[in-house]
Amino acid sequence: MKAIEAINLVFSYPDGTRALEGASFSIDSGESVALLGPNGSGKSTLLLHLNGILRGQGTVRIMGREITEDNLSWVRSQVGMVFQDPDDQLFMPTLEEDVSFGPRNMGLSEAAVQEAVSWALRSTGLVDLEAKSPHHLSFGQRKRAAVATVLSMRPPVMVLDEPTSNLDPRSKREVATLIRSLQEKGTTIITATHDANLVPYMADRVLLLDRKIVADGDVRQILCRRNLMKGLGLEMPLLADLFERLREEKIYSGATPFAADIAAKEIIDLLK
Amino acid sequence: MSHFDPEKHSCLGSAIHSWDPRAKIVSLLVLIFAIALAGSILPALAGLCVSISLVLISRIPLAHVAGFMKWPVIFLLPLALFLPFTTEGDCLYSFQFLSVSRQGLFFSLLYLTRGVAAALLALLIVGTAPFTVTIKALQEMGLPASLTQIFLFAYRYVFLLNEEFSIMSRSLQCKGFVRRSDLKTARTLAMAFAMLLIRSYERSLAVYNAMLSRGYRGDIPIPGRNGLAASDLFKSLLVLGAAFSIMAK
Ligand SMILES: Nc1ncnc2c1ncn2[C@@H]1O[C@H](COP(=O)(O)OP(=O)(O)OP(=O)(O)O)[C@@H](O)[C@H]1O
Ligand SMILES: [Mg+2]
Repeated sequence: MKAIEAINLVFSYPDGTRALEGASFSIDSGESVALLGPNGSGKSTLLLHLNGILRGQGTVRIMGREITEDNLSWVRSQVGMVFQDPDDQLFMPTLEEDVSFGPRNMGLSEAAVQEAVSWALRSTGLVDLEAKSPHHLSFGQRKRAAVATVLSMRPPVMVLDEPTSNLDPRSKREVATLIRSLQEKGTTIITATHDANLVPYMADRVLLLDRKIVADGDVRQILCRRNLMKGLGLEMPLLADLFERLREEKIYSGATPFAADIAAKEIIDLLK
Repeated sequence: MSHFDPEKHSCLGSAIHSWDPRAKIVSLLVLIFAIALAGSILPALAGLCVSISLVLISRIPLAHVAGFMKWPVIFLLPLALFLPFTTEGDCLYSFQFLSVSRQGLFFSLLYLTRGVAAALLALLIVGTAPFTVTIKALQEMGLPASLTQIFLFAYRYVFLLNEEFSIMSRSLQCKGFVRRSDLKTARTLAMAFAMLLIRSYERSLAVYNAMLSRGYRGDIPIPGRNGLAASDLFKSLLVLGAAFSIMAK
């Protein structure tokens, strides 16, 4: 089944900026997809269409149902949205209350709320901070807190807008691992990101956006295309860059590795 | 950020913290009322003693108490200093054209005692439970839900505005802005202020969107609480008893 289907989205901001010019794509249930594009290419704008916060021309379908005025609250129970700016997301006096806001709105029992909250805090590594005010957390902590507030609702579709920007390397890896483990449990995920190196760890498919979808395919297929990536001003993952150069020099002909240990093995084989 | 956070010690384990917030708010408000009405110095001092003991029982660190009391004292002090000189009555002491009257001194002392005692009790109300718990208790006692939400978000926005403002003034400084008393300074500050308003408007829009995304449909879910326990009633009885004996004097 298609979890998300976007058809020909066109959107202009009130000041006349054309942010989307006919973006179309679809995502199957259980897929994890990365959305890549330079600054200002419309990633955040596109994502805000997926739970009906922004609505321009075009159609968005969630689980096969078109988003309309009447089913917005259903749509929002299906699509969890983590905003790019964590300060947009956190508004309750304590972290614990913020993370429990969603589950309580869903009318869960107090025990179920507590369970969802502690799971979300554990998954984002924030257990010790639950009593703190969100506005007293560090930026990276707020970023993870924003993820926790949506995680606790356990939505079948998650939309993440640059969840790893400003995180330290370990937290980045943890977020990528979290995305993978959510996907294993059946969640459909779309993540906007600039971390090309991290993409292979969290997604199987890549969408390249420049006000419309300019490329759509397997992670390996997209991230290894130098001209395509360079044309948009994006960087290739470091190892992909290296091995594609070796391939261009006709030194290497295997599959492009994305992980250091596999790359090391390939290099040792080449040196032999 | 160096702002004062009244909630900093809201999670200690004292007898005041464990008191049911509804019973606590009502009892302490009655006590504040009784002290504010005290017409002579003895009951007012008794009220102050009760307030101080309650603060000690709450185990809120004294440095925190001092940080909070700074404001009411700054507010009370000028009047308290004026009263002895400006109230007419029996002259106690005079120096050139200034004279201190006994009634003036009496009023000044009364006024200061009542003010400090009331402020201490107010600190106990806001400082011994998380803000949402206090607000929720007010809602349970009949405060309309729309008002509770306004309080809740106003509270959040004070911090937000404060933060946006300090970020903005920091960035002004980094760009070489020096505050003078000329037109250029006024223009820059006016524009910064206008940006602050626009930014907070757009921020509130974004926060509202985030709330909608998480299923907000008009009321804030705050977990409920159990009924009053015997210990809650006992604490209330003690405080109300103190309040009534202050009133009776
Ligand atoms: N509220 C707004 N009003 C007017 N224009 C806007 C607004 N928000 C975004 N834009 C414009 O729309 C375009 C797309 O912005 P968007 O935030 O979607 O980009 P993005 O791909 O998320 O960029 P980034 O990687 O920097 O997050 C940009 O040109 C931006 O200037
Ligand atoms: Mg963006």
